[in-house]
Amino acid sequence: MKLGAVRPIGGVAGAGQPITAQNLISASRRSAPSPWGAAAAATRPSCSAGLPRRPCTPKSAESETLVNAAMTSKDYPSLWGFGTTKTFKIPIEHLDFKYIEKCSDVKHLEKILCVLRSGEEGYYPELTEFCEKRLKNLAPKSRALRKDKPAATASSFTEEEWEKIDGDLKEKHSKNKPAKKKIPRDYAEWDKFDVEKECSKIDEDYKEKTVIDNKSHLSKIERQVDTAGLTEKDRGLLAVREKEKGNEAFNSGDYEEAVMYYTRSISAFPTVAAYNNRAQAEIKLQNWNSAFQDCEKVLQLEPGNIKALLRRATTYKHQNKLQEAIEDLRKVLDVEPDNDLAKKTLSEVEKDVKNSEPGSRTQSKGKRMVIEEVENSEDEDEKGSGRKHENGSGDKMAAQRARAPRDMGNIQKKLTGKSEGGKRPARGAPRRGRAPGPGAEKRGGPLAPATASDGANGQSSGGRGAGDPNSSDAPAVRLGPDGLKSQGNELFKSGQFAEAARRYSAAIAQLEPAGSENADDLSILYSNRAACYLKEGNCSGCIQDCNRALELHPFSMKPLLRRAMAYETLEQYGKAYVDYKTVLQIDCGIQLANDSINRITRILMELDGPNWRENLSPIPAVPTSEPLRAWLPATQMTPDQGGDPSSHHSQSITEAIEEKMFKALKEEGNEYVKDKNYKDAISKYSECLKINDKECTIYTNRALCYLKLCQFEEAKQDCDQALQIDGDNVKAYYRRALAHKGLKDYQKSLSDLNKVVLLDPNIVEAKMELEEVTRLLNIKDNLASFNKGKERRKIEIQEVNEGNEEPERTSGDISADCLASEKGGGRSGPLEHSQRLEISKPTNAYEFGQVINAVNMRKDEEACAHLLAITAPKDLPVLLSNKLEGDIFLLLVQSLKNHIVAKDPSLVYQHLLYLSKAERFKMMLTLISKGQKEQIKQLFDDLSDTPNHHFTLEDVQALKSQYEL
Amino acid sequence: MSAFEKPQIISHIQKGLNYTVFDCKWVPCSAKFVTMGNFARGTGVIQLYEIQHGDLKLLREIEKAKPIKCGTFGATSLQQRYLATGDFDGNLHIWNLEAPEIPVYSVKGHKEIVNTIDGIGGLGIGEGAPEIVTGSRDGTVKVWDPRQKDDPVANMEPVQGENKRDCWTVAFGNAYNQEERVVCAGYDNGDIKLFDLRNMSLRWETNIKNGVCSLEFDRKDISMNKLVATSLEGKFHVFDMRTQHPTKGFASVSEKAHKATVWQVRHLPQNRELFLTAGGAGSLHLWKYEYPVQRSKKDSEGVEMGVAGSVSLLQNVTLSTQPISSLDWSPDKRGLCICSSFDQTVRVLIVTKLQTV
Repeated sequence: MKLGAVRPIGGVAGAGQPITAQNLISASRRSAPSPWGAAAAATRPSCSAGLPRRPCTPKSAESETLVNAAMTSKDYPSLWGFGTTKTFKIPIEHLDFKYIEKCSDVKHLEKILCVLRSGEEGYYPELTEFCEKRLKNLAPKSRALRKDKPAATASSFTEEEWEKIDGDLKEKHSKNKPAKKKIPRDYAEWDKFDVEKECSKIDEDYKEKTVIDNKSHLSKIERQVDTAGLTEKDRGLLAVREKEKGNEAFNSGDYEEAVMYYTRSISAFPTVAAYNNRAQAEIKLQNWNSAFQDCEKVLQLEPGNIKALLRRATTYKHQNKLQEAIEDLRKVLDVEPDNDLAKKTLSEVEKDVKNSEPGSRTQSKGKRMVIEEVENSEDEDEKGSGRKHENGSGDKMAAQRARAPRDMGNIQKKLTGKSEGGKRPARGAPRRGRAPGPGAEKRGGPLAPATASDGANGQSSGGRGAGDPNSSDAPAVRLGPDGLKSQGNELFKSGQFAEAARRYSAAIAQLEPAGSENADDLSILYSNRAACYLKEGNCSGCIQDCNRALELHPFSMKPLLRRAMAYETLEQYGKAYVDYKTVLQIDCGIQLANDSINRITRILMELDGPNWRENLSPIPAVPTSEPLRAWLPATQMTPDQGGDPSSHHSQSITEAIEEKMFKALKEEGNEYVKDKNYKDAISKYSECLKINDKECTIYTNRALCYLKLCQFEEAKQDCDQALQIDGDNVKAYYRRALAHKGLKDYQKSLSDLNKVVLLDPNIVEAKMELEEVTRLLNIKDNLASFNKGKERRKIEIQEVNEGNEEPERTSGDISADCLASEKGGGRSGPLEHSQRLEISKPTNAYEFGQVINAVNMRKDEEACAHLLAITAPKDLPVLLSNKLEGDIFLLLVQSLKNHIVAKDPSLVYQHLLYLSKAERFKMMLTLISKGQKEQIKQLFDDLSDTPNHHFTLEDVQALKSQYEL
Repeated sequence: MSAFEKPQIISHIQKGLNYTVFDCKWVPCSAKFVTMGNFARGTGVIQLYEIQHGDLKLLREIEKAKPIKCGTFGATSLQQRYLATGDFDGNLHIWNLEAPEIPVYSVKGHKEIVNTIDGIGGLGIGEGAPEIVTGSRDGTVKVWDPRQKDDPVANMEPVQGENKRDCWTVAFGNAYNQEERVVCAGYDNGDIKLFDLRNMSLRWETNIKNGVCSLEFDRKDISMNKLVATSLEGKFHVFDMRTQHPTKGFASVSEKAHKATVWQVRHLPQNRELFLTAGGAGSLHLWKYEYPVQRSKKDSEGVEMGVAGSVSLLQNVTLSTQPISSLDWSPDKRGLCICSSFDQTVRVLIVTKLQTV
C-alpha cells in the first residue's frame, strides 16, 4: 500500500491518460439504476394500489460503510495524494494498475471496483476489467463480480448446442400440439438420463454425509401411493415426481427417505430407473438383499442393464457370492471393455476369492481392510455408471452379442474345473470354489505358494484353490479325523483359532470323500470351523461353513447361532434375525438369541420403519421332531457362545478345562435322565453347578429330576434359580408349576402355568396341566368352604366329634397312601395307640379289655383277628375274666370265622376250647339269639370241614356240645 | 466451471401485453400458460397462451370485473385443471378455463385485495384434501377447501388489538402424508409465521427485518426441507426446516442477491436444490443450495439444532429494467420457465444444463 503511495501517479503505464484530481472531479457521474418502484408506479398507477408497498429507493451495496476503508484513508495524508473518492473515501492513488496488481485485500478491491464501475471518478474500462480479473483471482465468488448480464441468445452458444436447445423445444411443441394431453416422450428419457447421473455425482460429494437427525416423519410417510382412479399417464407422472423426490433425498444424504420415495414411485408405476436408484440407495444403507432384489427386477425388465449388473455385483460381493459377482462384472466388461470401475471391482473380487479360499489367510484386521476397499469400489461404481451414461445407456444388442461367447467361456471353465477335480468329492468344484478352502494358509505347508499362483491365474483359482489339504499340513495327515477334531477343539479352547480352523479343515478334507455317512461329523466339523472363523472375524467364512453344516444337518443349533452372529457382525440384520428366530424355535430358552433378537428388532425398526418385517425373508418352520433332538445339545450353546471373544482369550486354559468337564458332567447327567436314573442325574447336575452356577438349563434339568423323585421343594428351588438367570424360561416355569402342584400350592402353580401359556401358547401339556390345576384348585376351594361350615357347626354342637374327623380325612386323603386304618371313630387318637400296642400282646385283663372294647366299637374283625392271633388261647379265660359279653363273644366268633379259620383251624379250635372255659360262658350262651347261634354253628362246620392233625372230628363234636349246638 | 458449462438463461419468446400482468402460471401437462392482470380500464383479465413453433398464440382471453392479482393450479386435479384466482376485491374464484363465464367456486374471502394464493392437494402434489390458502391486505390468511362452500377451513388472523399486517405471501408445505400440512405466511413487516394445519397452531415465527415478498418450500409434498424467503431489500434467506431448535428455531443462510427487492423465488420442480429469484431491477438469479456436511448438531445443552448450508450463484441475467413480478417453472419440462414483468411483457425462458448442476 505504501509503495503504491510513493509512486508518482502520473506515470501509470497503459492507463491511457493520467488521473488528475481535476479530471476526476469533472468526470461524468452515472446515476444509480432507477428504482423499479417508481418506474412501475409511473407506468401503471393502478398497480401500486394492488401491490404491497415497498420503499422507492432500494438500498445498494455501496451504502455499506466499512471501518476498514476509513482506516486506509487515514494512512494517506492529503499532502501526498489528490484526495479520496467520494464513496468509501479510497485514496485516488489506489485507482492504479500497479496498486491493484499488488493489493490482496479483497474487500478493498471490491470497493475499488465498485468505485470504478460507478464511474463517479471517471470511466476507465481497462482498469475496471483489470480490477475484475485481479479480484477474480483472489476471490472467485466475490459478490462484486456479479454483473448484470443480458439473457443468453443464440450467439452465446455453439451452433450444435443451439440446435439442440432449439430443436428440443420445437419438438416438444410440435409433439404437444396433436396430442395435447400426452407428456412428450423425450421428457421421460431426459429425466431418466440425468437422474442417474446426478445420483452418481452426488455419491462422490456426499459420501460422508451423515444421515439426518429427525426421522420422525419417515415413519409417517406411506409406502404406497394411492393410484385409484388414475390414468396410466397420471401414474407415470406421479411416479416420476416421487422418483425425483427420492433423488433429492438421496442427494442430501438421506438414503432412507430416498428408499421410501423410490418405493412410492414404484408403487405408482414401476420403472427401471426407480428400481435401479432404489438399489443404489439400499446399497448405501447396506441392505444388500433388498438391493439385490431390485437389481434382479431391473434385469428382468431390461436385461443387460449395466448399472444393475454393477450394483448386483456389489451386493454379491458383500454377500460373499464372489463367483456371481465376477460373472456380473465380466458381463459389464464385455459390453464396456474399459469400464474402469468394473475392472477394479473385478480385480478386488478376484482377490477376495483368493483370500477367502485359503481359509484363514486374512486375519480379522486384514479382512476389515478388504471391506474398506469395497466401500471405495462402490464409489468407483458410481463414477463408472455415470460415465457409462454419457456413452449412451446400455446397448442391448451389444450386450447380447457379447454374452454368447461369455457363456461358452463359462462352460469351458466349468469343464476344466471338473476335470481337475476328478478325484475330489462329488460335492464338486463350483461350490468349493467359493468356500474357504481348507488347504493353504499363511503359515501353511508347501502348497500355499502354489495356490497363490493358481489364484493369480484368474478364474480357475476358484476350483483349484480348494487344493488338497492333506499335503498342505503334513503333521495333520497322520491323524484321523477324530484326532484332528479333538486337536482342533483343544486349540480352539486355548484361543488359537486359526490353528484350530486348520485342523478342522484337515478333518473335513478327510471325511468329505466318505460323503453322506459322515454327515453328522462333517456338520460338526463345519460348525466348529465356523466358530473359529467367527472368532477370527472372518464372518463370510463362518457363514459359508454354517451353511454347509446346516445343509448336512438342518436345524442344528450351533451353526444357526453362529451364522446369526456372523450376519449380525456383517450388519445383515434381516438374515441374522431370521436365524435367531429359527434358533428360538428350536429352543426358546437361549438367552443369547433372545437378547440378540431384541437388539436386532430395534435396529431393523430404525432402518426399515414399522413395516420392517415385510423385508424379512420367511422364517423357516422347524419340524416338530427337531426340538426334541436338539433339546440337550442345545443347552450347551450358551456357555461356549455367550462370552465375547476377548474374554475367551484371556481366561484361556483353566476355563477351557472347566468347560470341558462341565459339558461332560452334563452329558452324563442327561444320559442318566434318559435311563430314568434320576438320583445319579441329580448328583451330576449338582457337580455341574459347582463349576458353573449360571447355567439355566442345568437347573431346569435338575428340577426335572427332582420332580420325578417327588422332591417338590427342591425342584421348586431349582426352578427359582433358573428363572433368576433367565426370566423367560418356559421350561422352568412349567416345572415350577408342577412342583407347586406337588406342594399343593395350586394358586402359584396356576400362575406359573399361565406364564408358560403366555410365553408359548403351543405347549399342550401346559394347557392340560392348567385345566387340572384349576380343577384341583376349585375342589380345594370347595373343601375349604365346607370345612368352614363344619367348624361353625362344631361351635353349635360341641360334643359332635365328626368335626375333627373331616379335616383329618381330607388331608389324609391327599397326603399319603397309608390311610386305611383311619376308619376308626372319634377316638382315633387312642385307637391308633392301641393298634401299636397290639404288637406287644395284652398282659392283663384290663389291657385286653381296653383293646377289645376299642375293636368292638369299630366292629373291626380284622383287628380282632389280629388280637386273637397274638393272644395265647389258654390265656383267654383269664384275659376275658368276667367281661365276656354277647357282642364281644359274637365279634370273636366272627373274627375267627371270617379271618382265622381258613388260615389256622387249630388256633380256632384252641380259642373256642378255652373260650368255653371262660367265666360267664354258660350265661352268655343262654343270652345269645338264634341267629348268633347259627353263626357259631357255621364256624364249627367250617372247622370240621378242614381236617387237621391238631384236633379230630370227635374233638370238634365234643366242643360243639359244649356250645350247646 | 467454464462459461459454457454453466447453466445459461435464454429468453426464448417475449410478448408484449396490453395490460399490467401480475401473475403467470403454467397449465399442468401442457405447453400452455395463463397470465393474470389488470386492464387499464380497471377490469381483470386472464389470458391463455400456448407455445407454438417458437411463438406464443393467444388461445383465450377472459375479462372479469375485478383485477386479478394471483392464481394457482395447485389444488385441482390433473383432469380438471381449474384455475383458482384472487382478485383486488378480496374474492377467491375457481375457474374452469373451458367454460369461464361462471366460476366453479366463488367466495368473498377477504375484505381487501388478495395478495397471494397457493394451492395443494391437486396435481398429485401433496397428500390429503385439496386446499387453497389466500393471504390478504386485511391481515388474514385463510385456508379454503373447494369442496366447502363459503367458509374457510382455517383462518389465521391477528388477535384483537394487534396491528393488522399486510400479508404478502403464503406457501403450503410439509404435506408428506394425509394429515400433515403447514402454511407459511410472510408479512410486510418482515414477519414469517409458520402455521401447523394439523394442530391448528403457530409452530414458528421469525422476523427478517424487511417485508417478506415471497416464500416457498423447496417441495410442498415432503417433510419440510427448506424454505426460501425473499425480502424487500434485496436479500433472501434459506431456512433448513428439518431441524427445529426449541429457542433458535431453524438455521438459515442469507444472501444479498439483488440490488432491489427480490420479488419472487421459485424452486425447480425437478430439483429442489435449485431455485430462481426474480429481482426488482428485472434481473433473474439462479441459485444452488449446498448442504453442510452435517445438517444438524447438538448445542451446548445437547439439543439438536440445524446447520445451514450455503448458496452459490449459478447464473444471472437482466431481462428488463422493470421488476419481474412473477415466475413459474414448467412442472413438465425441465428448464422451461415463464416470467412476467411490469414492462407489460411475458417471457418464456429456457435454462440449460440444469441436469448437470
